Amino acid sequence: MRRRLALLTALITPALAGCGGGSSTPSTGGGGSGGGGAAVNGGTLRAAIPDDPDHLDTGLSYATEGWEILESTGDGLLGFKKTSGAAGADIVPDLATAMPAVTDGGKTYTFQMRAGVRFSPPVNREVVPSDIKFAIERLFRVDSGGVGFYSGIVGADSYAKTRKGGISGIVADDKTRTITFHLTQPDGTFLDYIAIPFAFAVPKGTPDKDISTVSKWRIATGPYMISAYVPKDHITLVRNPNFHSWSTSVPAGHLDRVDIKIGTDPEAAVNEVANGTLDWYFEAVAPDRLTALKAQFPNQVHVYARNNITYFEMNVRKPPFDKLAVRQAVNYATDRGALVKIFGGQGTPTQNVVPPTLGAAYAKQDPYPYDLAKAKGMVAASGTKGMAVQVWSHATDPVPKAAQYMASVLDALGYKASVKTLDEGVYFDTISTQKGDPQIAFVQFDQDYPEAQDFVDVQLNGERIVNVGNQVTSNIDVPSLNRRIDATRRMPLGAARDAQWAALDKSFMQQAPWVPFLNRTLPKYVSPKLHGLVFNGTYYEMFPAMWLSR
Amino acid sequence: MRSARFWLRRLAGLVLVLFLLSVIVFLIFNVIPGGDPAIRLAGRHPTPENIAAIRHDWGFNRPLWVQYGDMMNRLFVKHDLISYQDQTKVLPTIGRGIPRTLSLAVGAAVIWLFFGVLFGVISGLTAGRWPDRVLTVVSMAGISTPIFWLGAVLLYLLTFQWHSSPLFSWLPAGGYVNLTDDPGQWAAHLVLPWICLSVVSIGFYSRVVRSSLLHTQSADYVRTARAMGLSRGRVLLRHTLRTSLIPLTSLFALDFGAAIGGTVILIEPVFGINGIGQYAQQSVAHLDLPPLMALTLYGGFFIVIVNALADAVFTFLDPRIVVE
Repeated sequence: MRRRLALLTALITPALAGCGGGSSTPSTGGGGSGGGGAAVNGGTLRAAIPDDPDHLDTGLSYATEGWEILESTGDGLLGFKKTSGAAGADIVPDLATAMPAVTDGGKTYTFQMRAGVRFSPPVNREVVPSDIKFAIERLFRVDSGGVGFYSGIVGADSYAKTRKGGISGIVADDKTRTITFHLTQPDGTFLDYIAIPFAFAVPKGTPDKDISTVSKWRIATGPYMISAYVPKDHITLVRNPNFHSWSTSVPAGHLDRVDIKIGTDPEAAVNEVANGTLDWYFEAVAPDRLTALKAQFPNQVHVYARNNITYFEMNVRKPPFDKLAVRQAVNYATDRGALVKIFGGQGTPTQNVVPPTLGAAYAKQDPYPYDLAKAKGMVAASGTKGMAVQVWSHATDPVPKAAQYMASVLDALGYKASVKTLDEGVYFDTISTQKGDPQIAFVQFDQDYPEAQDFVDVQLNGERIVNVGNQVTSNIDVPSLNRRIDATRRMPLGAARDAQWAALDKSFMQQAPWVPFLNRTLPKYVSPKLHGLVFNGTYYEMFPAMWLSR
Repeated sequence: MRSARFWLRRLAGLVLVLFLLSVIVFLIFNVIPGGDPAIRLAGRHPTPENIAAIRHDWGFNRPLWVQYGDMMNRLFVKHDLISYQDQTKVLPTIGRGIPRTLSLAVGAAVIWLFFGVLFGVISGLTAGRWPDRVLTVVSMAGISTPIFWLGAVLLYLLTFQWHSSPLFSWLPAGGYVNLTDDPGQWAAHLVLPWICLSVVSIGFYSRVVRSSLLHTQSADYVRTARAMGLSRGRVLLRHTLRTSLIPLTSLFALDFGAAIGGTVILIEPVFGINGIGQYAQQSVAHLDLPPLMALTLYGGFFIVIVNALADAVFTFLDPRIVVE
């Protein structure tokens, strides 16, 4: 789950936050503001962000804001198709000339790297396969949060301990321009791992430390490069003089420059866009302003569908949720529509694990239509009525309201429910530790990569349960389902694999470890001069597609 | 000699305050749930090996007192303290933030002192009549205002709703411009933050000055001065007001220190000033101990120093007072 930067936006008028009401129809991007005609080259985008991005180092960045910037400056062997909608999850060649040859029963991936792509100044030389090997090995040397994606490569485990001699399962040949990855077992998701920014090319010799603020090592291959980064002040992107577009999937970009002001809060961003002093903001529209902005500036408000699932997890190790009937009863007793309203209508209700933005892996299901009477009967029969249940939530609006709603559902079912709230800064780390494990807790999960494995395997495979950093917060552990997940993960990407994820989604909802209720959207408000907005589930809005009208 | 002793004692007090502050902050961050930086640094799919490697590389597996000593060494000796959140250097970031925070706090202090004393004097001189009653209501409203809310409302009304009016079109919606780059824009960007930061203190100071004036006006020396034929204005300015400023000086020292060390946390994020306050607010949100440690000590330093200066000012206002 990638994080978005923690915001203290709830300081202001919480009473107004839920007044959005109604449901908005998410778009997948593309249009931009008010038409605009043919794209115009040139100009400076005036952008703002509430806080520093986590890192501007592809080896370390693990937040949406960092990836939005690094998408425009870096490239890997593969990339996600730089388009919106479900097609944005398609994996296409980037620095590779074609998709890899997969051999050895899915355990070996061989890439041919294209010639003529050069790093930005001051490195200037051509990108070679060993730069990819260097980038992945460097993850282990800088204690990157991304190492887990590459631990399935042969030799990665021992390299993590010794950090000497390289990872034996990555064989790079700069003369023939090939690079081969040997995996310990087949893994169709490996293509996703190669497409995310952790595997972007990094020139050999880059120091084994965060280079976000070290300009001479902030080297680009993409259309833009980061010419300045002053923490808590500004970031500047300019054109990379060594860049030339090598395929339609790697556009040259229209803007000459992007000036990113750091430290603007969401309320101020709305005012600045309205005043004409800001073109684009990294974060969502402040919730209390959305309804008015939609009415006043309909062409400047865009609502994007995120690859997101929002739910309450029920801990199957703790009563009363150790009983299947109770978990199913809570699902029957939850009115998803009410929860969507609590979230200001910013999203669509769901009873699936997989979000609808993931193509064929999503098969809409409705196993728990609202039926409070049935739910009450199931709880009464379970013998758990009257037990104390604590609902955990973080403190950022409107999540505490959602937790209160869930407590009211549990009260209605005959439990003695209360709500426990923690600051968002510590919440997810706390609930993912077995020591502080709650009975039932709010969870919001945004994709790391656009594949159903990130939702089903990562959050529901009992083999992944650990004491610290536990993503399987419900502790559901059904060996037969775990085996099906493992088998699906080994399959190549495609329709057959997607069908398996959809079937697993159905099976897990029968086990009811969660009350999934919302796929959240991302509402944005932009300058009328800004066009070419394309929202990709991984990179979000992409600078190279944007352009400014005169 | 007496002065040297005074400053030496204050210096010793400063060292003790900063030491206690640093120990308390360090311990708090090592016992709160979710405060383990190794887990946070390990990302969303942490492997036990990665968490262990981070603990080793960052030194989180060493005894707490060793970690504390290392942090103090990096802060005060090596000057290379880095943030856990984004691994940027803490001290240069604080250095860039100090002029912003001082611009905000000094400007607001000038405003609140001027209007606080002015309103207090008017109130004191017209006690019980309508100017006093109006200013009492205004002061109470000011004292009761949540300043971050006031900031958001002012921004909404003046830079969004009514921004097309020529009266407000010059007002920027937030941000900061360096004084040396453009003094006009520097002031324009700070007008609303100054107002927000000073509004509570104006109300408070006017009440303090009013009651102090009323108390002093009945003193024997004031009656004597009037009996000797001095004008009412001269008695007010040279005698009554001067004595009334003594409690105000104590109050100002505390408030100014608190503004620089704390209140700006509420104002800076609303206006995007990116000073020390906003850095502190963001560091709390990320549970980022190194900048929080440096910022807490910075706040403590200012509060102690400003209060020592206030003690020195007392001797000027009332030579009978001796500080040791």
